[in-house]
Amino acid sequence: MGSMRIARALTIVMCSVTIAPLAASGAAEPADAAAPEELIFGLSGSPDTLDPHATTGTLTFQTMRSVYDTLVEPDREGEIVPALATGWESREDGLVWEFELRHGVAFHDGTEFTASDVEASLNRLRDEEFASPSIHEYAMIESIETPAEDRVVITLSEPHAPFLSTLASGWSAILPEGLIESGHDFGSEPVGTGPFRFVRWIRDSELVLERNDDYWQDDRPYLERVEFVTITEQSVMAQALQAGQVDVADLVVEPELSTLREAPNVQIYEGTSALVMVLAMNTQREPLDDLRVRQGINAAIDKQAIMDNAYAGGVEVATFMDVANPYYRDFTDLYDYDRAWAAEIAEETDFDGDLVIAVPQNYAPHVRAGELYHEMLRQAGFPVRLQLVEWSTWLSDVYGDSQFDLTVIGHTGKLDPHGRLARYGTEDTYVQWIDKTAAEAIEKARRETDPDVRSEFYEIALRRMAEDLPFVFVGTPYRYVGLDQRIEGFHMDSQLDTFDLREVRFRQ
Amino acid sequence: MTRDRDWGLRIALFVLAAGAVLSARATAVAGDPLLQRLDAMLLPPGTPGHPLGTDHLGRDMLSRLLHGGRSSYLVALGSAAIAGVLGTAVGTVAGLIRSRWMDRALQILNDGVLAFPTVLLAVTVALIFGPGRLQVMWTLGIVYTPVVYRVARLETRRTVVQDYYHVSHTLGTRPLSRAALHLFPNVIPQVLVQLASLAALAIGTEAALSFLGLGTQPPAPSWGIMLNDARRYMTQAPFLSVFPGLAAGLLTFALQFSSDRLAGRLQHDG
Repeated sequence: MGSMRIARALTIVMCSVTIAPLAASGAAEPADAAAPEELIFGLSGSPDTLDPHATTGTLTFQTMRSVYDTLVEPDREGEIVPALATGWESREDGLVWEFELRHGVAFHDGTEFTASDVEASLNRLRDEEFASPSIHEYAMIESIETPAEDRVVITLSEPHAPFLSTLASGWSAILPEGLIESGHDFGSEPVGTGPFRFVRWIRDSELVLERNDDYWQDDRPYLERVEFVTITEQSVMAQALQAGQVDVADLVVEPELSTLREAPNVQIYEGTSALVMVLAMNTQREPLDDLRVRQGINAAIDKQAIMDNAYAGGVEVATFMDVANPYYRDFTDLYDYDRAWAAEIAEETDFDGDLVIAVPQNYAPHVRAGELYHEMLRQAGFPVRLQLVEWSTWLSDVYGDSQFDLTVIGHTGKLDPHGRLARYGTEDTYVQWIDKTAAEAIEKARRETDPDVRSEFYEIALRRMAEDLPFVFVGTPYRYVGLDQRIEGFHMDSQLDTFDLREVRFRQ
Repeated sequence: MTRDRDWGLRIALFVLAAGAVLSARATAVAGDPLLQRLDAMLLPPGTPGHPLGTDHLGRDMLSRLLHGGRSSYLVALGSAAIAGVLGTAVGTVAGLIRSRWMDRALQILNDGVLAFPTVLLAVTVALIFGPGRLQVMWTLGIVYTPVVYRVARLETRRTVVQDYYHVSHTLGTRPLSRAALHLFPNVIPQVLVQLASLAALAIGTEAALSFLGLGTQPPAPSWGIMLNDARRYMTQAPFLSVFPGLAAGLLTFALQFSSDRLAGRLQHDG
């Protein structure tokens, strides 16, 4: 009796599961007559806040890129081009920056955009009390002046080459002065000058934006509405894309990637990411403080196998820079994959217990990579153990407090190489790798404005990192976004990992 | 004692024993469960050398299934043993004691443990002590203790009012021998019936917690982890989820079935 009831319940569940996608695709049919003007965008996570000044979370920048503008922005080649500023000039060896602002731009609440909004926004970012997590990027600002409504002059206390890149990044969003002063809650109700205006946000569920008809770029954006929906499960996301329930799947990895490549109504947007996937090593802990041990671990890892089997493909790197970056240098011939040699090192090393590989458990590719590292090291004779840690614990204990031996992670880039390399070579990074040569080169590069000279300094730092291995540098993965077949004009700012939806539209 | 041959019970017990032996000798039977072959991923069942195929990292599924059984048996037997010893001890004492106050206090403690959601407790334990199968075993052992406690207390209460127990008391049999002679023969079978059914629950809970990453830690295999891995390959390799699911189902069924049959026998005998 009991089992009969269960069997019937199962049948009902299974039927409804198989019917649901059919019903959905059937319903979508008539709408195809005219090209849709609403984009359903599947996000694999939910932003922690909508205030771009108050977070370092990529999901915030990815969604708020469509609500806010910055003074300058990266174009499709990564060059920095005008946005809210129509032009700029730097004087006195990069100490004084003058921006000319765009006319006739309005915030979504109707107020006009002027120089005082820029001043108020930058002051908010510098405010010790507000304590923006990006505050250090603005620390060298000495004064901000607004000689005219359309003119901003920023004076720095020292030359700082990454400054323009900082202003082009999502966290330098320009907010309206009036609302900043009245203490408006930007975290849940953003007001910007961007191509889309905010409609509503239901945390962990959906974020709805609608077209800003007064956007300063003529006839942009094309779309009437954008609805971000959070789908954390990769397989569910892939099925939703195939069934036409979402138009974009923000991140596609194997095994779903192979399935989606075959799907007739799906196209795959391929880009190189700005990520560097690593196996980070705590260089202050025994026996990892010994370069030979780090070399042994490095030699035991088959990097291409990690990229192919954990991260859906990518390009090997041997230093702390993504392949597509203009500052990237190839050091892959420095060390070889050599399991026999790794085994010799493992043999002659004294281990005080297992080396623990900490793996953030919220991201399946890292877990898969962790299992691959574990087996490669085990085969070479290193005593290893895997430990899954929750993301918040990873951030506080591993990244914040260096409580780890080995850990699996990917490092994102910033528009300027300084964003990635800041503080490396000093004890203030989680790998605690101390190297005077590298630290000095990174600091000199920061103060240097000539790109060629900077490049030389960065080469010194990157070579030291490649030689001394604070990380097993593994590779830069490809980035795959799943798109409805009819979508055109989709673009990602690869160094910032954000989506530009202004040019997106459905083909007729 | 009924004299009929209970084939159902025999088969169930055989399945349990066979599973235990195979899991214990897993490496000898099926080799290394961690060995990855990146050139032989997602092979179907029936492939020479891999009777149940291989998983997404080219690891032998049979070996992983049998090694995964170790986690299940360890947690099931371990938690049952913990609950059995603790529950029986406290339960019989509570049944024998005349202090109303003491009985009430134990009852409240008991209800408190029972009221706490198992998975929530397991999550808390994992946060404090780190995730792992020993933590799961202890958590479940403690969660199951009140169930055993109730049975032991009730059965003790039932026994001490029996005439033969009174006679034995009047004859001056020492308390310990009295317990051994008259009390435990009544209490222990009832407890065993409970334990078999709790062990069945434990297998499901261990798999669920491992599925969530709170139990057995990868790369060590557990049926829950295997199911979690398999979930992503549902379309390419559906067989991956079949075997761990089947194994967990079979083991749970065998335990539950044995528990039911034993309970039936006790009723007949009683």
